[in-house]
Amino acid sequence: MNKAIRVGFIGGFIGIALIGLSLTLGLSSCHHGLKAEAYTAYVQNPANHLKRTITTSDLEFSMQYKPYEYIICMENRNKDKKYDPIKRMSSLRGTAWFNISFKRTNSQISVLRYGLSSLAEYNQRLNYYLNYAQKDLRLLYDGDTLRPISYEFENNYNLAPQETMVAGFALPGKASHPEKNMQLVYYDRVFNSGIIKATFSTDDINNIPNLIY
Amino acid sequence: MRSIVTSAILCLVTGLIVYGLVIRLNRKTAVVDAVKLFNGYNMKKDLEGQVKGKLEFLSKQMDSVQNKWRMVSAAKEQDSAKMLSTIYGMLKQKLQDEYTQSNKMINTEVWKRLNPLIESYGKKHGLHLIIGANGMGTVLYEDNYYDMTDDLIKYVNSKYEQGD
Repeated sequence: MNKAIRVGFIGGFIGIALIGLSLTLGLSSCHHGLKAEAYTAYVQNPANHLKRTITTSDLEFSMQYKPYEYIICMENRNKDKKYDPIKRMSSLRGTAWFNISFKRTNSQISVLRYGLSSLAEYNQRLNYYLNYAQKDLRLLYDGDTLRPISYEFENNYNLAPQETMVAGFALPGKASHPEKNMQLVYYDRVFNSGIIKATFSTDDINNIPNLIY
Repeated sequence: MRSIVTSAILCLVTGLIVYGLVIRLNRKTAVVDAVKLFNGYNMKKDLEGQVKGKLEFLSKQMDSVQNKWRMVSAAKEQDSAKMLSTIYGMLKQKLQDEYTQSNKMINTEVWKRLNPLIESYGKKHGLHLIIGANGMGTVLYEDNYYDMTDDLIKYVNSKYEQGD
């Protein structure tokens, strides 16, 4: 009987200690949580260094790092009940995603139509962004140069002044999410803006609040 | 009474002169060595690195054709020598064109990026005027007092690498 009490006492003590430890670790590592709307606003706020803006004489480039939670928020803005965020999250593990947007600084006309001399030139530009621009994109991660595993040009058919490229990179090793400083590099061949770079530090990535879904 | 008015006018005039001098002294000017800035910008180095491979490849091709041409000429094979001479001329022209075009492109792209950065640097430091010294006689003399070249190079490179 005494032995049973002693085992129970030790078991209870270990259990309480484990709960205490996990709570301590959880509290020390966790950030404040944000709801979807506030979370996306945080990620898009240039002050948090997850969105970098590069201005040239005539164009403005924005490079937006997209955490997995941000992708989920943007994909499920309509709160579709069939949408499975856990499944989506696991499909994103081991990758890093970015939006590369560009527009003219002082114009509402689509940048693809800027300074054109013929329709053929427009088609050439469009073809470049649809099929070849990914070759001019790379991600520098922990000494490795990564090429996109996925690329998409969001063709807005000249309805908006801003054009966007979406690129995803597979992280080397077994990293489930970006753990090192990243530098996204794009060489703009169409508008002669040169090499566009944006650095995203681990500190800024680690400071991202949790999403309250 | 007249002396009081005269003194007041004198005080006012002196005050205006001092005020004007203070305003003038507060106008900040900087001198920047444009060539040093251009050469110190990391993007220029990166672009040169990209072009370098292509130019070296063309140059090696040209050397190889030239060597063959010399050998064939020594062996007095007239037809082959003529053909290789034509190829050599074409490659030389191509290398020159490539070099000129890449220089022009680098120049355009670098200044397209530097101009807004110089403007933002000027605004950040409250400068009213930035004079670009380029060794062509625009600035005939300056001691280092107004020279902000090194600081500007640091600024543009940090913006280039960080992306803001």
